[in-house]
Amino acid sequence: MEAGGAVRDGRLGTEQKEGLTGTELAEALKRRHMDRKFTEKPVEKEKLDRLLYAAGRAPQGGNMLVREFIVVTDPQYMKLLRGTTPSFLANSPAAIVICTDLEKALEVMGIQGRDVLSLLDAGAAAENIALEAVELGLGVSFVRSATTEAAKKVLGIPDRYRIDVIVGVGYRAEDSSPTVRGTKSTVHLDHYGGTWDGG
Amino acid sequence: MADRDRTSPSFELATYLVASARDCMEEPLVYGPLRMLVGVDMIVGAMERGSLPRDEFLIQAKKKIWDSVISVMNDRAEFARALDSMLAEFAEEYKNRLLSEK
Repeated sequence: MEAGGAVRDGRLGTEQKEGLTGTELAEALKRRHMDRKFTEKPVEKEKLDRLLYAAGRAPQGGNMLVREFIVVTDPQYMKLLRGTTPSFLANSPAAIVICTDLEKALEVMGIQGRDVLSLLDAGAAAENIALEAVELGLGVSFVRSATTEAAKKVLGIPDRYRIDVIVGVGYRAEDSSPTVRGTKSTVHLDHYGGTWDGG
Repeated sequence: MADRDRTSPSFELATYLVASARDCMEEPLVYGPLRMLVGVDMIVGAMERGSLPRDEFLIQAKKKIWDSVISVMNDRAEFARALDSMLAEFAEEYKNRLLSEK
């Protein structure tokens, strides 16, 4: 352990604190949002490594490694990805494509694992990326499209994989107009309709 | 990737529209108009880059297009109003161009 209560992750050289303070976590949750507009500045390899580490720390059903990531930074490949993914409106210079190996998922987790759990796992990885992005001063944009077969084609992804979510990554433009949604959830206490006296 | 870009604005727009057609089958209804406006934006973008003949009316309309696109994410009633306004301007321009040609 190093001074200040931090340990170093040997695999990626990232610093992993023993425990987040409530303030840090709350601040990351508060500042996390989807961005629509990014600058042209490329995302540094070191920062992409940090995002991938965060994504890899997200849970996986059965702890099986059926989730894979494709990091896209080449402008031509970004153009192909965006051109075949109409919902990819953001102009981020990079993207992390989160995929599931469907054959492996079926083999190790069954139908529910392939069709449901792996999607939850992909979402968890995407959220980890979004939270880590806050710390790194980056913005993100989640993209889900019905045109994933086209995206698979341009990125050369084998048939047995499913693209679950695309996370656009980059430096937020000043006029990014982040999407801000309400923070209130519908909560029931003990049973459906039970009153939850939340803050 | 090697620089061997042999695409054209028309091809890129066509690809986008085909992909959008597929996307629209599973997306919320309001995303259809959004995709169409992005298509218009792609045409204007090609004009600005000199890949298509310039049309100053369309180029001037670009900012309004993007204001509308962004507003769809937060206020769909405003999006509809912006479309009404934009369509009225396009219709007026169309009428002026068509009649002035006679």
